[in-house]
Amino acid sequence: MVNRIYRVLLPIDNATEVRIYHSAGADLAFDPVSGLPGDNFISFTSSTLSESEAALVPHIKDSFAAYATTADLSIIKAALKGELVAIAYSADGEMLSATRVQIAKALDDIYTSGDNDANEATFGVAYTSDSITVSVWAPTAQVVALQVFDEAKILTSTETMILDAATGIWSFTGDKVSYDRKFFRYDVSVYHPVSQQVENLWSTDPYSVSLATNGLYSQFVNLNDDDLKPVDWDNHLSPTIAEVEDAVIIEAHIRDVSVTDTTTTAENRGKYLAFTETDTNAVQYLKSLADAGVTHFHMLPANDIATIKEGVGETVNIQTLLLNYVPYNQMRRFVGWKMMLPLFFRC
Amino acid sequence: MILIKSLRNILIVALTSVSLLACEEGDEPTDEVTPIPVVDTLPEPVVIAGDDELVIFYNRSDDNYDDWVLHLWNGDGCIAYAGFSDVEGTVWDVGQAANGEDPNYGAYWILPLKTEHSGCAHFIVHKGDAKDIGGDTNNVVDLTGDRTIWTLSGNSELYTAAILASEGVFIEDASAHWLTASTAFYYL
Repeated sequence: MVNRIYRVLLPIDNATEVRIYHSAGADLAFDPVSGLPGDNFISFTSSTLSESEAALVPHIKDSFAAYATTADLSIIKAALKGELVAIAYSADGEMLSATRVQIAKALDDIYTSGDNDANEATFGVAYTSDSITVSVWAPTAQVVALQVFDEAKILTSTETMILDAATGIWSFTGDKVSYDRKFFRYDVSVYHPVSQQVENLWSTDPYSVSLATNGLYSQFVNLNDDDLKPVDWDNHLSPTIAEVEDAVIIEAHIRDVSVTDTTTTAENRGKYLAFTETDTNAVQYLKSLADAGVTHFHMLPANDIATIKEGVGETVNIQTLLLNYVPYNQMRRFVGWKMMLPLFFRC
Repeated sequence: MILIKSLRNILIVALTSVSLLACEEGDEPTDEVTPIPVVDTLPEPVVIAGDDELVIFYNRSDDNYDDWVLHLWNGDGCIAYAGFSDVEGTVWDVGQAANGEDPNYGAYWILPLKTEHSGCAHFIVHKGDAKDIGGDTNNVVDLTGDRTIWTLSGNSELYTAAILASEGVFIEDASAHWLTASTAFYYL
């Protein structure tokens, strides 16, 4: 039978025993004299780090002391979902120190060190011909539920998500016809180390491929659906580069490329579709950059930013506030870009 | 909240009676330390915050307060101290020396506040580059209450009621690092 050794590092080297007390309800009632009551703890004894472990913590490998346990993995996984307090004891049972516990490396080890576990998995929304599966890694979550919303963002159902204990992945599978193009959020109960309480939080999917306005809801979307592909999408050849060191990169905000370009239609100015208007000054200028040797255009920002509202009427455009500056803005920008070019090519 | 529960063996009493503070004329303060009482009353502190003042107590078990000073600053969301502009504070190497020592609660500082302060204040108790209390973003003094805080060396908590250190230890920081199971072994 295989057993595993779990180690914890503490800034105290004279402890005979280290106990990590755990509470799923976050109700550890620590007493400065008597410590914590009960037997809800995992016992660690003096140990030394292996070479590979020491390599993970170069900053404390010499100044901290290691303690080890062979406690059952299922107990450890459960403990990592709750409040933790580590107490160091002397040989005669005197409490020497107490501290909270950082668990990131334990989670990495338990859930990602195998050949086919969390870091090999696929997350977010995945479609088959008739079903949708959505999955998220939340190994410390106590409960994760899936909230489903209609187009008006009215909650239509709350679905149970199932935890795979081996990987820490929560998932839900439903009929494609019931969920496709609907919106969703995760409803998570999880111990939070700042509040030191079990918190109920909602989150969008960190792997979202489509979001509602302002990123407030994720959407079930199959990017392979025909109506979501631009014309010739499947036949489009993406340019490649043999040696990445040969890349000549220009970085610009999607908005800035066209927002003041009067040859771009007003409707598309500052937006993604401005790049589809191939005869505009903005796009022609990008083409001239490509002709001059630029190989890559780094788009900023291409995703939602939580602090920027995107709804019509909620945006603030600086040129509407600086009217006197605007008539010259476009030319200055292009001149500025040209002045900037030597900087790129010199590198 | 674990903090509240963890303080069961520490006597905390809200200080409500200002009149007890007034020493009789001619009384000299003594250095005699009042023993930790077994009833739920605590000795009165020797100072109490006046209007537009913040009082900070800093209690060390070794009672050695030499060179322990406060670093104070306005800014980072808290504009409080009357002695500095809205973006300035003490020079780190100099700091603010204590105004005196309370026989029970340790060194204390009486810090004048701006009349229109922003409701919170920053401070760090330090000796050279050794920091003891404060400086953490979570350790901001709330100025909406009695504007008096009590601190215990080695314990990052800012107590808003008088406190004497009891025996025992406090939960300090999150300095236990739970690592890996990189070593496997077999047993029969």
